[in-house]
Amino acid sequence: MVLATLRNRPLHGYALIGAIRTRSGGVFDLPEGTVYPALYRLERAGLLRSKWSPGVGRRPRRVYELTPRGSEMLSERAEEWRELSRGLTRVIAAAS
Amino acid sequence: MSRDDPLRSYVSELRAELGRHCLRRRLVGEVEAHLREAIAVRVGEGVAPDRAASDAIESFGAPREVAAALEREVPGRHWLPAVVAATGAAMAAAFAMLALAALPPRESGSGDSAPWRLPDPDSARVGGALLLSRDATEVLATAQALGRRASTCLLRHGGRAGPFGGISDPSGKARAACLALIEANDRFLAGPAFREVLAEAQPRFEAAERCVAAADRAHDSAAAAGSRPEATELSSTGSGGPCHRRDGLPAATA
Repeated sequence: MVLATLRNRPLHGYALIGAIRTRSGGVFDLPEGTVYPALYRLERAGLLRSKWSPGVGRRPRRVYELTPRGSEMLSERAEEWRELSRGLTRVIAAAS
Repeated sequence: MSRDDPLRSYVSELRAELGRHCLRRRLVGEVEAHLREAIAVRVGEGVAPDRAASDAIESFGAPREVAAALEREVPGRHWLPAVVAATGAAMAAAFAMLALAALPPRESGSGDSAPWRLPDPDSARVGGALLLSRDATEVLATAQALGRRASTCLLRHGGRAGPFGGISDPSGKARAACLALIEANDRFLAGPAFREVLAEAQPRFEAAERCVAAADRAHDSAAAAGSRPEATELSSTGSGGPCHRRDGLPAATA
C-alpha cells in the first residue's frame, strides 16, 4: 500500500497516511505511529528514499519517494495481488 | 493550556521509550512534525486546540507501541563503542579514498607532484562516530578495504606518502600499475550503497568538523586566559548540528 501510494508522487508521512486512508475509502485507517517504522524498513531495503524538504512557512519535513527498485517491487507485488484476488473471487463465486 | 504542552509530553515520553535506538532522533523529529500538522489541520477545522492535540496524539498511538513498532521493523541498532571506533576508522578511509577518487586521472610523466590531499583523520573519525548502523558500517568497511588495497599498491609501486597522508605519484607509474584496484575502489564509491551512506554522513561529518573547530577555539581561548580547558566535553556549535567529545564519541546519543 505504501509503495502504491508513493507511485505517482513523493509524499511526507502525514500526507502518505492521509492518502492511504482516502484511497481506501477509510478501510485502511492505519495506526499512524506504525507507519514511520515501516517507512524506515522500506528505505533500508532500498525500495524508498527520503530527504528533508523545506516547507514554505513550515518546519522541514522528510519526503519519501519510490526508488527504481521500489517501482519494480510494486509491479511484482501488484501482479501477485491481482492473481490472488482473481483466485479468491472465483472461489467465493463458486461457493455462493 | 498551550496546545504544545501535550505534544511536548508525548515527544518526551516517546524519546524515553526509544532508548538508545539509532533512529531515535529521526523518528522523534518526524513524529513532532507529523503531530504539529495533525493538530493544525484539526484546529483549522474548528476543533479546540487542546482537543485537537489530544485527538492527534490518540490517533498516532501510544509511545510504547510506536517504539515497539520501530524495534520490530528496524531491530537492535544501538550505539556501541566498538562499532563507533570501527566505523570511525572506516569512515576516515572512506573519505580519504573519496578525496583520491575525486582527482582527475594523472597522465604518466605529467610532472604533477602535489600529493593527493586527504581530510583530517581526527575530524573524519569524529564524523564517523555518527554513523552507527550495521549496514553503514559494512559499507564503510568495504570502502576501507578497497581503499587500503589501492593505497598499498600505490606505495608498493613507487607512490610516496605525502605530508597530509596523501600519496604522490609524479610519474604516474604507480597509478598505472594499480589501475584495476583504483577503478574497483572508484566503482564502489560511485555505487548506490556508498552514495547513500555518504549522503547521510556528509552533513553530520561537516557538523562534527565545525564542532571540533569550535572546541579547538574554545580550548585555545581558555588556555590563553589561563583557565584549565575542558578536556573532553565540547560545547554546541550553535549551528544546531551534533556535538562530540574530543575522543570521537558523541556527547549525546540522540
